[in-house]
Amino acid sequence: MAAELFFRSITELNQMLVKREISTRDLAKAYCDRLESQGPKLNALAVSTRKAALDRAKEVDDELKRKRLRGPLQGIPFGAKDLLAYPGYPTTWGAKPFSQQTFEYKATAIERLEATGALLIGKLAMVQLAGGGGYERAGASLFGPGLNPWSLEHWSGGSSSGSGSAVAAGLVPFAIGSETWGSIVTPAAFCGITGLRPTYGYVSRHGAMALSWTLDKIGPMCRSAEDCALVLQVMAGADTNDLASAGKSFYYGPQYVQDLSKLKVGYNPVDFAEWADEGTRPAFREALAALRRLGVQLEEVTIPEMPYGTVAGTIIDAEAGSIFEPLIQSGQVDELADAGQIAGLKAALDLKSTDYLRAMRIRTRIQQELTPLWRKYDVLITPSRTRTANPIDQPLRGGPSQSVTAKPASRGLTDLGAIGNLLGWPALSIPCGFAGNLPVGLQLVTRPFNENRILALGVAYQRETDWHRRRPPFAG
Amino acid sequence: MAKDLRAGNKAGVAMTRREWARLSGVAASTAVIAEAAPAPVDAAAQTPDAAQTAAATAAAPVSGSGDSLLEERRASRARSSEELRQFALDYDDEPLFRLVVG
Repeated sequence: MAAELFFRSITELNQMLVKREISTRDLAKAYCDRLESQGPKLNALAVSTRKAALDRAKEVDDELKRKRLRGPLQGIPFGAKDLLAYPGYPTTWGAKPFSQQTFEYKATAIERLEATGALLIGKLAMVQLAGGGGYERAGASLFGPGLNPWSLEHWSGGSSSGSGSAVAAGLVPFAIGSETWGSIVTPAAFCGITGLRPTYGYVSRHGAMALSWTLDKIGPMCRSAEDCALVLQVMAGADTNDLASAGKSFYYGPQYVQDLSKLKVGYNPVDFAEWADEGTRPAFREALAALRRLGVQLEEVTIPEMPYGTVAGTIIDAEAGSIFEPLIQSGQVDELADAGQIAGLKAALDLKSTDYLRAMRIRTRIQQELTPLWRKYDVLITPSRTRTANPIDQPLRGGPSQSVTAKPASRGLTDLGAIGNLLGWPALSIPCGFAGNLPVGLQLVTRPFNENRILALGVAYQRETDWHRRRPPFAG
Repeated sequence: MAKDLRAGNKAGVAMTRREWARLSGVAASTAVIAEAAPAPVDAAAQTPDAAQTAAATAAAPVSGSGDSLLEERRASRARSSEELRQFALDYDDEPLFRLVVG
């Protein structure tokens, strides 16, 4: 099949199926072939679920023949990060100690997608334990380092590494990822795709590995903002199996969002002009110009200095330490593929309850201080990441940014990643250009349960630009 | 819980009871908060999810034996603990139970 097929939008693919231009089974088979042949080259595939997908595809074809239409995801293949349970196949959490793990039940997010006729064709690779303990190298995964379709010598980002690279390379039309702090936004930015981290509690985590009960979110990773909206519409909703479920549904309704010319977008120039690597700055300048052309009002915003990163880190460490205590105490933690992560998990067991509770108390103060921002601004924007994907053979952190030689005087909104995750705010990462041959992403954040606002802005931006339509050289 | 006094502060956001208290000298915590603000770190050097945790306060080791890495992580944890302790809290400050405010 022509490579072009694998880069069509969800709506386009669904229309092909509804019009019987291609059968669900043939589409699923074509994607399975592609995922199985190309996925391992990117270290993106955990396990193919071809048999389950093709069995289900036959049923969907029967439904389509009878004109029993279930919506735009009917017959659309997808992949899921390998921290989501699916019976009959291993769910490894990307980690050797769990390489033989299976579950008899299905994650709610997958179940909801399948109920509308979407077809799971593969579990996708991930950083082990979603990075619990703190990893230092891209190779911190049972499946090897996630490789970036734009450059196989660069990392795909993590921890939803396979989800990011598989979508970018056209191996799946969309994928499910998860984020505790950065795990959707980062691979979306590095791989040049569109990723949505939903409001905390919107999408059930039932059947998903827990890293941090109070921070974990499940979200879509797609090739456009509109595709993210269509997937979120299906995945979001009440679930009594998730104690954090917000009990809310999401309806994609961009027509109800206020006129873009009335949209107040807060940003801080220091993020784009000083914190961002020099090579990425032209892309960000053009992204801001494109937003202005759309008519939105860009206004400079500052936020109070608080220990956002330390609070988020302490909470994740404490909760991950408790969750993985059996793994750590048993000594199996030593089987993990990253020495820093092993040390981090062990150290997490020493974390004091008073530190955790102090962090949670400061979190309340952060919420009190920053929630009023939404009275003045509709959206906040920052670079998704201030630099492009890391070289695969280099440590992931510890060194200064390549071109930020002098620390900027202000932190701007560089803590928005920590803040957004601490407060459960939704974020959309959209591709906004390139630095060299590597993609650059722009992050749009809004108040809880207002995903339509950032999705509408993302859709408008993607009508104005074509970065989301670019295909990596790996994709053929 | 803090009351919103609907006054602007330098961040352009509504002023909370505690901020009002700080600025008006009712609680002398302004200096402490300023000192506790994290030293600028390279946000771009952080890696996603749990890898970011220690990175907020310290450059991470990139190699070393398991024991030395563990000691470095413990030291990093101690620095984080100290940073949290520098942040002034009141007796009535509660942990965040209502995780999302719409």
